[in-house]
Amino acid sequence: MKTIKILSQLVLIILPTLLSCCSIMKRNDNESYKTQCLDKIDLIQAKADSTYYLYHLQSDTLFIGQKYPPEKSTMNPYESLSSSDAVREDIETNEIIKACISPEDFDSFVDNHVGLLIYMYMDSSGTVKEVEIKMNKRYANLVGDEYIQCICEGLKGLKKTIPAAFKDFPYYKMGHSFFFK
Amino acid sequence: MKKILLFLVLFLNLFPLGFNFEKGKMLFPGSLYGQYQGVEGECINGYMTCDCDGWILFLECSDPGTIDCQCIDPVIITPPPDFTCPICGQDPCVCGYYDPCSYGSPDYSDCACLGINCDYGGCDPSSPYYDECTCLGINCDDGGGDGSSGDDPTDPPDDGTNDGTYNFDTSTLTPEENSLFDQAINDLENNCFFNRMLNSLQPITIRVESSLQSPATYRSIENTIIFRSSETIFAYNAAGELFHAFQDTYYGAYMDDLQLLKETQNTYGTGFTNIEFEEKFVHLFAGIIGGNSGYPLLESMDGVDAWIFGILDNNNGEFPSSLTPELSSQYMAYMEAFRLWNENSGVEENEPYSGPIDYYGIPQIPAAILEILINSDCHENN
Repeated sequence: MKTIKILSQLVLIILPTLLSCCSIMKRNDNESYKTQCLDKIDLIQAKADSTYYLYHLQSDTLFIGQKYPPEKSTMNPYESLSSSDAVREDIETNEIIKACISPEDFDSFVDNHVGLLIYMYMDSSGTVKEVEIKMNKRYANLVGDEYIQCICEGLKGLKKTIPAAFKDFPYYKMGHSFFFK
Repeated sequence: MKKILLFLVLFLNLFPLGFNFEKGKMLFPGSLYGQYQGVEGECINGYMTCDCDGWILFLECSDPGTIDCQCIDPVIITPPPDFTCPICGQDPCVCGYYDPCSYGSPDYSDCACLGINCDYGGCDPSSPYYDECTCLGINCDDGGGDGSSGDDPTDPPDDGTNDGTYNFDTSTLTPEENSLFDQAINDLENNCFFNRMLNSLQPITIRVESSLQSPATYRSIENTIIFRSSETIFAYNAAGELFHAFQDTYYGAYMDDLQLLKETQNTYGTGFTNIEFEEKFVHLFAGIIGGNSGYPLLESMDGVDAWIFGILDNNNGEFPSSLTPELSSQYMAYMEAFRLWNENSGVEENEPYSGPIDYYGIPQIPAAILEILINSDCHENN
């Protein structure tokens, strides 16, 4: 009896916590909803100027804030600045961003012409290690931190092809613009 | 002072005519307007503002202090009876900066300048958009008609060597190279900006040359794009060279002259940097406005992507179809930074990008890009 009471109390404590931290985050290609649990908001706003916020995850400090291009890194002028996989990889990136936004908010972002300027930092294998997002301050109330965090986390780990011209860079940074439309 | 005068004259896209209608007044081709002195502006930090009878001009200047604006006289001078306007063909023909006939002007428009009907899909034979097939609603696909879309004056007739949709002569490519080129074109079609560009190109020959040092190049005199190998045939490289092809059409003989200079005197002439900078700019521009795309970050183009993004972001996702003098100055400042970076890079291969910038013979705006943009539906997508 005592055990049942303890268990029921535990359920009463754990269940609301789970419900509050989990939200429907994205609709995948199979038209089913995926839920994502955000342990906590691990996002920081850095280097805000009068117009923009610059966001990244708190733990992302290896490349963000460092000089780019890295010291003594020289582009190879005889090689391509992009790769043959770039278009496919862009589509993949866009899908990850879209998947973070609930359908109703997505429409609102479209109506408000919300745009994100995203910088991805890759290690020499082409794996995205850190993500930085620039967004106009006027959208801060519209686009919640959880969305920004979801995009940052979603893009981390993505594999990209480093263009031949930058093959010798110890790490590589690329830009990606995203306007909701 | 001489520099200011020269700048103003060329800023307005005018050149000395060689004769005067009235003593003391300098006239320009296409303009029956004279020049007068007496209005002064204060040159601060390289810029000055002039009020010429209500026309506010934002000019570059070199020496601080008060400088005469060399305004243009708004009074029309009666021309001799045999005078014909060399640019507009109209009387009076105003060819100032804001004139539809002035190349590079924000208001530049073939149709408005020539006074012809440019409505899309019109059946008016005087319109450059006129197309018999579209007008009569008949099938003009292979075997009938010229194959042009009928809705665009820059859409050329089929020259018999295209690969199906556009005027690309890919006859020397291997099947693998052909397939890669088709894939690159398909990828570009998904970007509304590049899609518009593809529909505005003149016939172009595509070939592969293994001795080429760079991944790809465009030769304007031969209207030919050359890829180094099948490995360099993909969307980004194709976009850059196809854009050069569009510049070649849009800027007239400008690029041919540069190529000739390079081949005869082994010199990258004034303006080579302008052409190359606009090509680097278009990748960022198309990526941001034409589709949600990634792009490489070049140290020589530092801040340009954020600048383009900011313009869109502050304008409901739209890019203006013409640039204000302030935006034009910023564009040229980025170009100068690009030139300087390449000059200081110490890399011999960057020489094409470090030559003198042309401030007079070519618009100080990304004119070829804006030409594609205003004919596209990219605004609507944003």
